Amino acid sequence: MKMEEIIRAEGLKKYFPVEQSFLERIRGGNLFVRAVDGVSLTINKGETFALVGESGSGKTTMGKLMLKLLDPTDGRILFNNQDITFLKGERLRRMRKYMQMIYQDPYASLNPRMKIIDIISEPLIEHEICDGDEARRQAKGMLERIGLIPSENFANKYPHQLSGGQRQRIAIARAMILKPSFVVADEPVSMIDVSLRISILELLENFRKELNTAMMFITHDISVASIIAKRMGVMYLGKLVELGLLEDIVNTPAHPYTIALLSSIPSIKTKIKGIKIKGEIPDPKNPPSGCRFHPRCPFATEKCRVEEPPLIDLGKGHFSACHYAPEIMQKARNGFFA
Amino acid sequence: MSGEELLKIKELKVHYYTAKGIVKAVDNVSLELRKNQFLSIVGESGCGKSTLAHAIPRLVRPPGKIVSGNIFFENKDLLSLSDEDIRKIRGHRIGFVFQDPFTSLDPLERVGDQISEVLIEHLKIEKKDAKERAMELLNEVGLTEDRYNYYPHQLSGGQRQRVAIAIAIALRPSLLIADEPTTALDVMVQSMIMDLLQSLIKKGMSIFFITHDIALASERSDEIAIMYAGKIVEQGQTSRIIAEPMHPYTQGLMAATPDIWERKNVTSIPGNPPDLANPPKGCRFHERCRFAMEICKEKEPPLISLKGRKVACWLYSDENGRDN
Repeated sequence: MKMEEIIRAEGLKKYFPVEQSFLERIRGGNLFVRAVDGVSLTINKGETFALVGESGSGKTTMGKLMLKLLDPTDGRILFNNQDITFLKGERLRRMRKYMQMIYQDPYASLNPRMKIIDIISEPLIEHEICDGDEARRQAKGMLERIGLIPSENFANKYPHQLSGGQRQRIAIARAMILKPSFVVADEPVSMIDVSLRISILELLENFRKELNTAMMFITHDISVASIIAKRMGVMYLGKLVELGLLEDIVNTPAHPYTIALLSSIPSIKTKIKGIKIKGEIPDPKNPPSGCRFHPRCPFATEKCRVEEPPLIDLGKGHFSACHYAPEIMQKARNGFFA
Repeated sequence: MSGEELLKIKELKVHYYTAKGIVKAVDNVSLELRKNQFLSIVGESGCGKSTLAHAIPRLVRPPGKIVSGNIFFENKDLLSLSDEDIRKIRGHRIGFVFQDPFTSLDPLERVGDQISEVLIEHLKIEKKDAKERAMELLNEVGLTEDRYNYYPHQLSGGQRQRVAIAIAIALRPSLLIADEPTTALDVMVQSMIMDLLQSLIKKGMSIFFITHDIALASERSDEIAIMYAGKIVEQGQTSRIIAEPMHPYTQGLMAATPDIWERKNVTSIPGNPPDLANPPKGCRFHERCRFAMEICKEKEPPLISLKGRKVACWLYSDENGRDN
C-alpha cells in the first residue's frame, strides 16, 4: 500500500523567551528555552505515529506546533502538501476542523457548565456544518458510538457527573465528530485507570480505521504506545533522537537514550539488563554542546561533546541521531537486553 | 526470607462520612509486613489503598475515620496511643512520602534547612551538626551537597522527591510508607527513585508502597496485595502471584497492563469500579467478573489461604469457607 502523507514538519523550532530581569538581559543577552529545536517528521494518512519523550523533551510543544496552536520560531508545516505555517484568521479557522486535539486531563478539557450533548455538538455548529437540531442528532449518535448508552441518560448530564474514563470518551467524541484527518492526542490515557485504558485506546483505533484519521499519539510510555502505534519518534531536549517502526526501535534501538528509556520501563515478566544512566534531563535554557545527550551517555566520546550528530539513515525508515548509531544497533542486536 | 514482624494490621475499617452516605474505603483489611520487606499495595483510583496508607500513622482526616481494627507496629497498638505518642512515632519510627512532594515541602525555605529542622527538632542537636547530617542525607538520596541551598521550585520533580525521602528517613524510621511516590515522574526518574527505595531495605528499613502499576510492583516488591473496592482480594509473595494470578481481578489487571517485551493481547476489564458509597452485594468484583456465579452476587467471599497466598474468590472456596 502506498503511503500518502497528511502532515509534515520541516526543521520546526519553537523558542520560548525566559523571563529575566533587565540586568540579567544586559549581562547574558536574551535567554530562550529551546523547547523544539529543529524537528522534521512526516505522518501519513490514517497512520498512528507515537511521539515519545520525558517531560521537558518538547513533545507537547511539538504537538501544539503541528496543530498551529503555537506559532513556530522557524521551520515549516505542510498539511495536505499545503504550507500552513503562516496561515491566519478565517483561513486558519476553516482548516482547524480537519485538525483536532485530545488532551491528557478530561477533567480540565471539558467545559464544566455545558451539557454533554452540547459539548459534543458544539464543533459542528461552530464550523457551520449543520444546524443545531442536526448537530444534536449526530451528537446523540456519537454518544451511542462511544458506549454511553442509553444516550438519553447521558445527553443532559454535566461533565462532573461522569467518571474520568467517560469524560475522556466525550473528549474523543468531540474531536472526532468533525471527521478530522489529523488528530494530536496528548497522553490521552495517562490519567485513566489501568483497567479502562485499553478500551479508550480501542475507541481511538476504531475511529482511526473508520475515518482514516492520522494520529500523533504523544506519550512518555512506550508500552502504551506499542499498543496503538506502528511508527514512533523519540524526543530528547527538543530534538528527535530516533525515528522508525516501533517494533524495530524496541528490538534494535539505535540510540543510547532510547536504550536507557526502554531499560527503565517496568515489565511484569521480563527482566532486562539494559543500561542505566545517571542524572536527569538538563536545563533546556542551556543545552549541552554537541550531542545533547552526551553528558549522560555511557558511550560518549570527544566527538559527541563537540559535534552535533545528524539523523543517520539506517534503512527501513529507521533513523538515529547518534554518531555511533550502527555500532549501538549492533550492540543491541548482540543482546543489550539479554 | 522470613524476618521479624514489624507491622500487623488486623481487620481495619476506615469509613468516610459523606453527603452521599458512608464510604467504606478500607473494609476489613488485614496485612502483615516483616522487617526488611518491600510490600506493594496495588489498586486503582478509589480502591482505598491511599486511605489504608494514611491510616497506619493515623493521618486519616475528617470526614474519614478509623472505625475499628488494630494496627500493631513494633509491639505497640497504634490506635490506642495518645496523640502525643503517635506524633513521636511519626517521623521517628514511620516515615511518609507522598505522590506530590510539593505538599510536604515548604516552598519558601531552602530544602537543606528543611532537612536540618527535622533533625534539630527531634534530635535536639546543634545547628552545625544538623547541617552536616543533612548534607550526608542529601548524598544518601543521590543529591549533591550544593542542593542544600536550593528552593523546592529550583529542583526537578525527581529531585524534590529525593528531598522528601531524605526528610522521611532523616530520623532512621524502621518503616517508610510511600504513597505513589513515582506516579508524577517520568519512567527513567521513576526507575531511579525505585532503586533508591530498594537501597533503603538494605539499610534495615521496610517499605509499604502504594501503586496503581502492577508491573512496577512486580519488579520491585517481595510481596504484593491487590486491593479492590476497599478489600484485599489477593495477597502473597510477588513471584507466586505473578506466575499464577488466581483472583479474576488480578488476572484482569495483568491482562490490561501492556508489556513492550511481550507481544500479548492487552484487554480492558469491562465496566467501571463500583461506587464505594453503594457497593454491590456479594463479591464487589462480580459485576465485572467473567467467572461470576450465583453465589458471587449474594455472599462475600472469605479470604482463604491457597497455593502460598491469600485469595478472596468463590472459585476457590465453598460456602462454608473451606478450600475447594
